[in-house]
Amino acid sequence: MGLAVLAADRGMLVRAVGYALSAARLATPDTMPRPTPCAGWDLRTLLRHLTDSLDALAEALGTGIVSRGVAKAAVRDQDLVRGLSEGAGTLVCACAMAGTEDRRVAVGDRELTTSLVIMTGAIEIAVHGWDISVACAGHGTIPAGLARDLLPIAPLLVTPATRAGRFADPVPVPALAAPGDRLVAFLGRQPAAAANPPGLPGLPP
Amino acid sequence: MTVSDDFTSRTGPYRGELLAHCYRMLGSADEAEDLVQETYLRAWRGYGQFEGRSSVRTWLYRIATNACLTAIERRSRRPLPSGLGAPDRDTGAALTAAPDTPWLQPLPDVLLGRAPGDPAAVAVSRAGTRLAFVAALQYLSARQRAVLILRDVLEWPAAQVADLLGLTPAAVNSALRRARAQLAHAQRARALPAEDDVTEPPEPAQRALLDRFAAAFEDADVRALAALLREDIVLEMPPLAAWFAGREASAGFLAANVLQSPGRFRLVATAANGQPAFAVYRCGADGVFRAYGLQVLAVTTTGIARIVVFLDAELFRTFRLPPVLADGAGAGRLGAGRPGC
Repeated sequence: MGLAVLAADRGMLVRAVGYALSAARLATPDTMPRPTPCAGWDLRTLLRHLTDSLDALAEALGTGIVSRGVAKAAVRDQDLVRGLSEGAGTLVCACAMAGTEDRRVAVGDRELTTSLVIMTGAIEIAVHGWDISVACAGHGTIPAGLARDLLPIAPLLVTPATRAGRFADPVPVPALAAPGDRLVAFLGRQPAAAANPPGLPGLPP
Repeated sequence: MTVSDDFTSRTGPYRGELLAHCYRMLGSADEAEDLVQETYLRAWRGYGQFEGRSSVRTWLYRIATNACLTAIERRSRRPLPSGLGAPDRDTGAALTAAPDTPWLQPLPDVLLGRAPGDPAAVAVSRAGTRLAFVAALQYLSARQRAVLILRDVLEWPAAQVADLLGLTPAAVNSALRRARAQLAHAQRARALPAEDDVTEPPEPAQRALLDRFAAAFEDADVRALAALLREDIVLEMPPLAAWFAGREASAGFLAANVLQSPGRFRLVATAANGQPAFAVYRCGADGVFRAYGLQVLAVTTTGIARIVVFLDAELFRTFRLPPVLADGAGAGRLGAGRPGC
């Protein structure tokens, strides 16, 4: 696999992280108990989960400088966004330092190529960025360029076999829907939720 | 049509058989799925350079096989308990788990997809996935596995296999001879039947036998259960290291350790490795039936020849089975309204 491809993979991951961070800037202590598009998760739980994911990704990419413990249950609400930012910084560093070959890295008891780890991470982080945006009533759809790059790859990695427990079934969207809407719909989200956040009826658009 | 649509329509149909291929090579459905994802990601990246000198199918098998060969280099084989030692005789002995052993895993049939218009594709996916066969493959080197699977399961010509593996046809044929000998040796040494020794009963008879098995298990009727087992049955339960050979030892173990009272278990029919299987739910103190283990059965015209019970509730997710059983559900007892335990 060529260097250009790996650089493109990392570029997508970094863009997804940047998008998720910009969505999380709207989070305040007041928004923490709000529901998110992830069933059963409030914003607090989602931020913790995403921070854990960033840490795990950084660890997988092998810098050994994972900021452990940031997202533990004891962390105060006002520190959650800071924890996410720290995790994002660590991951972006890990990405830059991860070498240029497509190695195999240990993830739990599995061994995956860095390319697969990075692309799986980019998809998860982008869609959780959108979830955060919805919970904060931020309406920040996934940037079209990032969504366009992720759209052909998502069906290679999220299949009927791997969807269970991770993503709900795809939601139908018009053929000409925006790339960001098509991506979140493929990953089981209602794109319209961005205009009408869950549990927030009557909120002005 | 975009490049993405073109790629999807040309490569998508092979996903099920590639999963089966990686599973035969690796012995784990989870790892096989990882390798299939890696294959598709690599194929997507390289699609611009794909010149059509081979078919898309051959090209995908080349990527997947090479990914499997690299993955196998870095880890040990996946055994069943019967591959690690002699059968146990003491059916009442304390059981020890060996959780760190990377056990062979079952392949849920549901993952191979449905191709209603294409029974041939389903046949390609199912061929050579029987649990005992994949267990025996684990005793071959990575390259021997690849040669044997491509030649004897997928029935590719030697020249095509040679091209895929970067060998001469003569080297492929010689590797195939060694692989067949090694496979036969593993089958003899590990009490694993050869693929062509397995004769399943016709469908109605098999279904009746499975219904009786499920009812006997749910009712803890060891005598009725034993009557369905072959004299030479093998019972193994990874991650427990102990395993039992013969009807008396196997039924004795079940009577002493598992089937103590009726109503503790409910069985839901499923399928794994192209074989009949049951998801076993156990009743908790709160009366709720929760995922307990997955039984994969080898059924022959003379009775049940092998039961491998994977005591791993995590597997239920891959089989698309609920972790908790709804009230009243169970193999032989749907809607019968039996009381809780």
